Amino acid sequence: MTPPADHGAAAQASAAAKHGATAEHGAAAEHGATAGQDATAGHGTPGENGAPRRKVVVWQHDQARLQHDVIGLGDVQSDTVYGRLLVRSLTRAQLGLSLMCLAIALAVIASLPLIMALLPSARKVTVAGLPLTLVILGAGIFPVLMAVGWFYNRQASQLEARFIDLVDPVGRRLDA
Amino acid sequence: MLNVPAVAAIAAVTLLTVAVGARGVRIARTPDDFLVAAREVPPGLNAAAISGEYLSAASFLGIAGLIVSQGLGALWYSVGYTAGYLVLLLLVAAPLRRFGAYTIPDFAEGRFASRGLRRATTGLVLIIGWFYLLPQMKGAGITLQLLLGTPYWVGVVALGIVVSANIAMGGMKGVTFVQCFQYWLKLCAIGIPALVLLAAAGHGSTRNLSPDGQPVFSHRTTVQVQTGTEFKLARPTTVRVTGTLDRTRLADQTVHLPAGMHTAASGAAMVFAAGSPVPASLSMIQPASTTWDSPFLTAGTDGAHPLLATYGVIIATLFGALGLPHILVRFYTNPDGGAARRTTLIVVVLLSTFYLFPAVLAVLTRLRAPELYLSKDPDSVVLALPSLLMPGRPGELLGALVAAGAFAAFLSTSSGLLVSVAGALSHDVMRGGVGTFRLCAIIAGTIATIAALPVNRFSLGLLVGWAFAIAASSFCPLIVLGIWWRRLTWVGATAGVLVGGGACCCAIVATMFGAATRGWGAALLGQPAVWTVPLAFSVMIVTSLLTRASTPPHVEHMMLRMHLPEGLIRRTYRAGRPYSRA
Repeated sequence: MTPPADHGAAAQASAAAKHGATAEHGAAAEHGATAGQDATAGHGTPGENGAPRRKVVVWQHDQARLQHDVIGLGDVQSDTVYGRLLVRSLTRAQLGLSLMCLAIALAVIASLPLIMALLPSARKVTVAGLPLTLVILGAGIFPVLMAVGWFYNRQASQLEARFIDLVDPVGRRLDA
Repeated sequence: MLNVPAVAAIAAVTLLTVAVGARGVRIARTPDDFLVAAREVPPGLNAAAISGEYLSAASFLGIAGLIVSQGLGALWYSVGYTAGYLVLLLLVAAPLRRFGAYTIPDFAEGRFASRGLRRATTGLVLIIGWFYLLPQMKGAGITLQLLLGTPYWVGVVALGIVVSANIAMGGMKGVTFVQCFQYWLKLCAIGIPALVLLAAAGHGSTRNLSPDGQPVFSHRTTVQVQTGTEFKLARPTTVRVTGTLDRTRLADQTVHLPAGMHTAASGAAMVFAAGSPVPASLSMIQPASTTWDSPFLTAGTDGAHPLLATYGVIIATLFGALGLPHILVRFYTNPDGGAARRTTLIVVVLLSTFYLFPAVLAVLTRLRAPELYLSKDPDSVVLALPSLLMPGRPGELLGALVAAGAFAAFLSTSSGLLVSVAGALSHDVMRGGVGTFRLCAIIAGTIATIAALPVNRFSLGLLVGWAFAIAASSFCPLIVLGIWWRRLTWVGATAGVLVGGGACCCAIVATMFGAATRGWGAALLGQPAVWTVPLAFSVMIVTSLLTRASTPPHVEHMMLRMHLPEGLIRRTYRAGRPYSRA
C-alpha cells in the first residue's frame, strides 16, 4: 500500500504531530487487548527477549501508521488508490440514490401528460364536480413530490452515516 | 376606483423592505457580507427566505391568470416550479453547498479552473437575471395601473428605483430576513383571500368547470367596461346595453349580438342574463383547438402540438430552478450539506402549500366572476377578483392584502436577482469592491427598468418560463455534470453552456419578434427547452469525450470536497490536508 507521490507523506507526518496528544483514547481502546502483556512493562519497548518480534506501538502510536493498517480515513486523506475507490463508491451510491428518486419523480410527473393524451376519456373524469386535471395538478401531485424528497433525505443521510462508519469507525476515531 | 387600503398596504410593504435594508447597511461592511448573509442561517428560516425569493410575480399573479385564460394546463407551471426544487434537492443541494461556491461563475471557475468558462457563465447570469427581472417589473406596472390608474411605466420605474436603491444600500444582509418575512406575507396574501372567497362563494354550480363547457354567467351580471375593449362572443346573445357598443350609442337598450368580435367603449355597461355566454377579450381567448379543461399547455396562436409544448414547460421548470443565478447563493448560507438538503425539502413543502392557492383563485374566477374574461391582461385577474366577489369594505381589504403580497413578490424576487446581476457585473466585469457593487446595482436596475417598458404584451408566466428555459439549457447541465461526472472538461462545459444557452436565447428572441406563430415552429421556438436541454447535455458530453486532455486538475479533490460528508472533511482538514480550491 504505497501512497501516491503528492502530499501523502507530509500529511501523515503532520497528522501524527497534531494528534500525538489526542490519540490516546482510540489507540488504547483498540490495542489494549493485543498489546496488554507488553504494555505492563511500561511504554512497550519491543524485543526485550531478544527474539525478533512484531512491532507493537502502544501509547505513542503513529496516527498515520494506524490508519494505514486498515483502509479508511487515512486513505481518503492521503488520496491513495484505496481512498479513491472509497470516494468513488460513495459518489456512485449517492448518484444511484439521486437517480432512483429522480426516476420515481419523473415517472409520476412525465407520465401524466402521456396518459392524458392516450386516454382522452381520463380528461372527462370529475372528482366531486372538479375536473381530474385540477385535482391532480392542483393538489394531488404535491404530496408525492414531498414524499420523494423526504425519502431521499432520509436515505442520503443514512448513506453518509454508513460511509463515515466505514472509513472512520467510532472505535478508531481520533476525536471521539 | 382608488383603493386606499391597497395603496397603504403597498406602501407599508415597500417601507418595511427599505427599512430592514437600511438596517443592513450598518451590519454589512465587507464584500462577503454584501453577497451572502453570514453563513449561519437555520434550515427553517433559510427555506422561508429561499421560497420568499423564489415566489415571483409569475407565481403570485401569472399562474392564476394563465389558468383562467388558457385552461387547466397552466397548472403545469406550479407543478414544475415546485418539482424544480425536488430536482435541485436530488441532484445538487448538498454537493453544491459543500463545494462552497456562492455564484455560478465561482462554481465554474473553481471546478474547471477556467477563466473563459467563468466569463461565459457571467454573461449568462446577466442574461437570465435581466430576463427574469422583466416580468417582476411588468407585474409592478400592471398592479399600480389597476389600483391607482397610473400609466404602466409608473409602476415599473417605481419598483426599479426602490429595488436598486435598497440593494445599493444594504445588499443581502438586509434581504435575508426580509425575504423570510415575505414568504409568509405572500402565503397569507394569497391564502387568506382564497379561503375567504371560497367560503363566501359556498356551494354552487360547477357548470363552468364541466369538461368542454364554454363559460356562462351563472346569474344576471352587469359588466362595467373600464377601458375600451374588443371582445369575442361564442354564440349569439341578447344583452342590455348602456353606453357605446360597436360604435353605436345605446341607452339601456336590448340588443341582439351575433357571435364573433365586438367592441365596447370605456364606460359601457352590459347586462347579461343568466346562462349567457361570457364575452372574452382578445388576450383571454384560448386557441380554438383546445378546451379549458385540457391538461396541456399550448404554443402559438393555433394551439399546435400541445403535448410537445407541455413537455417543454415541464423540462424548463424542472431543470431550470437549479440553474437560476439568484438561488445558488442562498445555499451557501446553510451551515453544511445535510442542512442544505433539509432546507431544500422544507422549500418543497412551503412551495407546495403556496401553489394550492393560485389554482383556487383561478377556479373561483371561472365560477363566480367570469366577467373577468373581459380584462385586458390575464395577469390582473387575481388583483381584481376580491372586490368583484365581495363588494364593499371586506373585498377592498382583501384586495389590499393581495396587492401587498404581489408587491412583496416583485420586491423579493427582483432584489435577489439584482444582487446576482450586480454581483456578476461588479465582480467579473468591473472587478471592484463594495463601492462598485453599489454602482452596479444602480446600473443593472436602470437597464432592467428600461427593458421592462415594452414587454407588457407578454404574460408573466410565459416570460418567467423563458428565463427558466435558458437556465435549464445552460447552467443545469453545467452544474449537474460538474458535480457528478469526473470527465467533464472545461472545453465541453463551455461549449455546452454556449450552444444550449445560445440556442435557447435565439429561439425565445425569435418568438418575441413573432418569427413563428403556428405549427411546429411555434411549439419548438415558443417552448425551446424540449430540445435545447438535451442539446446542451449532449454537446457537453460529446465535447468532453473528444477533449479528454483538458480534464481539469485535481478532479478527485473536487469530488472529495463536494461529496464527502462534513464530519470527515473537518477531520481531514485537521489532519493537515487542506482541500483548497485549485
